[in-house]
Amino acid sequence: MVKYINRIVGKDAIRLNKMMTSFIEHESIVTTRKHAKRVVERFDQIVNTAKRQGVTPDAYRVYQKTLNDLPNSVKKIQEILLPRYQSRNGGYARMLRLEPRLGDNAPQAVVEMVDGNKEYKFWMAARVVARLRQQGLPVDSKTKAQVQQVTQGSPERADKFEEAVKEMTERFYPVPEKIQGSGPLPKKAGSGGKGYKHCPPPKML
Amino acid sequence: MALQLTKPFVAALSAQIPVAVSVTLAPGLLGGLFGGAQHDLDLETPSREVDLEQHKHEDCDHGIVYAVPKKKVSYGQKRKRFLADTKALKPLTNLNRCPACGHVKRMHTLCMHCFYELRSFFAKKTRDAESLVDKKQPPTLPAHDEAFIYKNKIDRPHYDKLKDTASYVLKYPRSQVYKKKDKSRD
Repeated sequence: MVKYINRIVGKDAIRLNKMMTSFIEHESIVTTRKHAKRVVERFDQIVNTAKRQGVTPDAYRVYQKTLNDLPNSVKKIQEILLPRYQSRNGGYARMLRLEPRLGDNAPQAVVEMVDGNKEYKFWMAARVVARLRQQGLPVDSKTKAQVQQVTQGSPERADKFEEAVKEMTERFYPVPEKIQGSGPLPKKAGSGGKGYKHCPPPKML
Repeated sequence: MALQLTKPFVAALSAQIPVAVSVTLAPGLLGGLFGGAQHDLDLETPSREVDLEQHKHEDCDHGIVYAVPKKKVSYGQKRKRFLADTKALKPLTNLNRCPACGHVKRMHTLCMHCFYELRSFFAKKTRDAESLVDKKQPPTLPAHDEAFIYKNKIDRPHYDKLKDTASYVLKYPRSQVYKKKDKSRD
């Protein structure tokens, strides 16, 4: 796929440019996992150059290499992304895995900006917390860890998270009695407090 | 597919070709008919090659034995090959429970149902935000200009098929629910 080390040329470069441009425009895209990983890496590079150099001619050369719709994307980098990522030193984008694609069964992933508009991890955590509150259940350790990851960085994030929880309850769980399929699992005798029994791997026939 | 043969192999062939035999038996009678064949079987020249494409419509195989299986594969062996253990579908063991909807999902992945719900939620948010911003209205045009520029879309018969996206767009099936254990059973 890549002929040269540390250099992306030809078809790969064009594809990456298109993906980067649409990623900066929409803040989250769905691709296969290998492409997703590249987008994450490249986004870090772009934001770091923007932090160091701004819109100097040298930095502009970097943007020219990697973005198609230059005026709009550079404007967005300057106005929105730079103030957003001032307190971070990297890790500006995140990749979450999805089910394989229908048709060719390629492993998919969704790339999202951290602290962005369409942050799936953030809203998913908000949704789980909303469900647990509506059902009157305690927040489990995994969800707690996820909420902590999502809200760290600045104190405003915690307030934003509370608003998100409210929105999620309105949208998905308005009536607690109607929540289906997500009650606590019955505990089995031999499971050691867990909801499921440990299942050994299948034997070869 | 033209099969190119070298000289010694052709020499072995020539003994079994009926054309050649008939030529040696009755050169006087059939000479006129098979004159061309006699010319073809001149094996004296060092790099003589025979193109089998010319003879493919004849009945015999020119004595060539191609590589074929020695015996018929028995029913049991065939079934063994088709239904081998490695070809069977394996049960998924990396399954988990979606914390939001409670259905089954793969470990370390997002539940596709919840993912699509969130995506439509984001889409609605952006649509609402766009509707708040005042858009520039296009200039009002006279009727004949408007009819020329914005042509009415003609409904064609295959458009109805295209509109029915549920018939041809693939969709993820909804995964199973964890069932509660019945107390009345035990």
